[in-house]
Amino acid sequence: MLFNSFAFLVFLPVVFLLYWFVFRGRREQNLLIVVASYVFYGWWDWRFLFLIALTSACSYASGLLIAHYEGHRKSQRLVSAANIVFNLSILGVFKYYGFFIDNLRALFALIGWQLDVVTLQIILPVGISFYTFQALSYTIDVYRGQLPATRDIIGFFAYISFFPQLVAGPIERATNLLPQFQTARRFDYAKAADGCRQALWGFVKKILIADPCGQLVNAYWGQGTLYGVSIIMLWVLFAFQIYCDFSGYSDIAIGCARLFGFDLMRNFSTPYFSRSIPEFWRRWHISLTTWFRDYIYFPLGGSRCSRGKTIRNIFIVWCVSGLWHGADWTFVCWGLYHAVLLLAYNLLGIQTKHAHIVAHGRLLPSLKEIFHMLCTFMLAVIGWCIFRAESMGQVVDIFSALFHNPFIDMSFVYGSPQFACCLVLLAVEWWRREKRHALETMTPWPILNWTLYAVLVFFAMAFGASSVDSDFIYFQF
Amino acid sequence: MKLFLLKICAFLVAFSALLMLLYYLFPTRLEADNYLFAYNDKLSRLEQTDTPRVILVGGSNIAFGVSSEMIEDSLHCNVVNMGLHAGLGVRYTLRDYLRFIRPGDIVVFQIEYSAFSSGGEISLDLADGLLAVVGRENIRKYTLPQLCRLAKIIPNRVMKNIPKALLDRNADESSPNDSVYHYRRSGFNKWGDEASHWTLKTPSPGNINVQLGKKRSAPRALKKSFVDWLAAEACAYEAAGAKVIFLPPVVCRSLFPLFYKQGIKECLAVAGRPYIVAPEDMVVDDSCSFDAEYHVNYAGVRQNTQRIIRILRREISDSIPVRS
Repeated sequence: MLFNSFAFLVFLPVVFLLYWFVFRGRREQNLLIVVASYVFYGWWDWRFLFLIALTSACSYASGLLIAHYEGHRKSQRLVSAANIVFNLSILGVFKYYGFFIDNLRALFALIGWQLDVVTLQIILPVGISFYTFQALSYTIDVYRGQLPATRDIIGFFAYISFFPQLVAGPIERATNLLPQFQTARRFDYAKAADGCRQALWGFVKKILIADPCGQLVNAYWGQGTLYGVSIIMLWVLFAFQIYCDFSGYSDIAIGCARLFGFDLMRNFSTPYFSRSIPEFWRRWHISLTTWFRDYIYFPLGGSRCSRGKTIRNIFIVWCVSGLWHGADWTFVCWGLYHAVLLLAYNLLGIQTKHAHIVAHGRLLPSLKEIFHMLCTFMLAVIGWCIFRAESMGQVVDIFSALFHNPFIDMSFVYGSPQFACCLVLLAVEWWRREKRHALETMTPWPILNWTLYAVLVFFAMAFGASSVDSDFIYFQF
Repeated sequence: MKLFLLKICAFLVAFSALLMLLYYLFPTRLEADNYLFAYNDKLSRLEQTDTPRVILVGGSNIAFGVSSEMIEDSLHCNVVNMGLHAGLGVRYTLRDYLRFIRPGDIVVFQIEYSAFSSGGEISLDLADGLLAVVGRENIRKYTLPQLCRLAKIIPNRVMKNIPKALLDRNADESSPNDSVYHYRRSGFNKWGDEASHWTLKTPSPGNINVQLGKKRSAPRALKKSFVDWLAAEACAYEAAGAKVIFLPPVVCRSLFPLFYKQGIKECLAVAGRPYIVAPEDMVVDDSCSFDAEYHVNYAGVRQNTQRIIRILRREISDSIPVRS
């Protein structure tokens, strides 16, 4: 079920009313969330429900076993490793089998062998990378002793399958979300109202910016009809498309969760106002970046080891991050590109730790800050080009076309309405950059606030009618 | 909680009321020569044409694919071509035509394959356009899914209609004007055939059709409920005294595998309404394609019409009372 579909428009109020009026007890509410989440996911393809159930059941059992073997570190390690391997195997089969076989076959073809391996047309279950990582987070946290193993099976299943963030995150930590399922919830007006505002802002970003930009990007990408500046404009449009699409989804997810009394972690924090690539990654897809930091980078030694090991750690994390996004060399190269950038910042000793958001307490940034933001944005945009490309050959073609005459090609002026929308978004986000989302704590005049909501709902509906049920980009990951 | 729900409900009610008011004050206005206005012309002809008659029912595959005059000359009976646009949704149009069906009519259902997966509902962009043609009082004929589609498109229409009405009151909406052909009401002849394209040269025969078709033929499952509805509708036509025939639509060769959904023929047969010829038999060569997947050029019109004449002569020769 898509957030921007008619089915969800009916589903959400029904679940909301049942949750607060019919299922009042904590366990009943958790059970309702499990059922609702399975309906939500099954709407897309019910056959993959068993995968979520299997992942949940195994992770739940592994938690109990780890608790059972308390004091026996070796057994605990064995159980947690078995669960991690099992979950990653499921992910591997469904997401990477085809990629692995294709590359193996190509490798053998290089030395003249024709490898006869069974190829399977495996459908990638929506959101498998997200809920698998969420399940792994639980097992690792229990193993590390940061969280007691839960015996509440319904609460645990609800934690893994919680529908607002099931298919595209934020990837929640067990330490944050699971305890919320184990405590009684009371309706909080302020929280629910803020959730509605955040969800509305998410819809606005998705419908008014991501979808129109996406239409243009899809029409021109890889067609070989654009050159020079036009190509850069297309990259910039894609940068806004992916940001508004993904952060829009996160806003809707966080907003919906607040309606049910849950606080999900923040996933985006105005990333395009970052002054460096490391800062960009502290503001973009925060839930995934911190996941890799806490469960891969730090255990490998992080940056508190020799320079050689730090370099190795950075490359491992970003190679895995690239692969997490998709089974394709373009994603791996995108990950390596960011690894190189981060390494450059690290080796050059550039200051990337900032106590506050850019221009904190000021209206406008300094020229130096503008320069840093522009450089960071352009570096990110180049990365998005690799990310969006269908093959590395296409990346080469696009970069060659970049330097093709005429460099200043005006054939892409069609993009202007979309660019205008992007500029408005930037202005709004700049104004509201110290808030959790753009519609948080509005003006003190209710009539003005409600009018603004009505205008946003109107435009979202008006533009939404033409972009019927368009998917979110991150569903494919 | 109560306050929250109250505020949300009050907002939704006020918002919907305002939207409806704006939609009422700034209706969609189509120019007189808009393609959709041919719907009223066709209804008038259906009402006024004497029996015996053959009524061709479907979308634009009939509008662009038949010469009614040729059929009349061969079968010696009146022909009414009701084909206009598949997006109008046969669930609306078939129900609307029923009031003019008389005993002795021969009704040929030539429904586009896409309807079997979309469910024959009105398309989003025409949910409002049709009302502009048939009059808002006909909104009561809309079924619930059709009303939902209308509700979905209203904000979009209001957004477009208000500036248009404020800036230029005379700027009524014309029909789409693509690079190949201008869709307009005046393009239809007195039988209801789109005849203005017969004299136009087809640009790059086949190519546009195939490209467009590949984009439009998203794989979607066949809706058996639609087949059941269609069969029930055929019964209603028969109850009004008509004879109903199911004929596959004309489509060019390259697009046939893309558009024909496996199982349509079998489903219709199970519902007791089989096609009287195989779908493959209604395919025309790619060189006969015009500007869209089901549209054929004049060569295609002649070929398709001769085929329809042969089929009708064979199937219903005894049912066609000769025109006096």
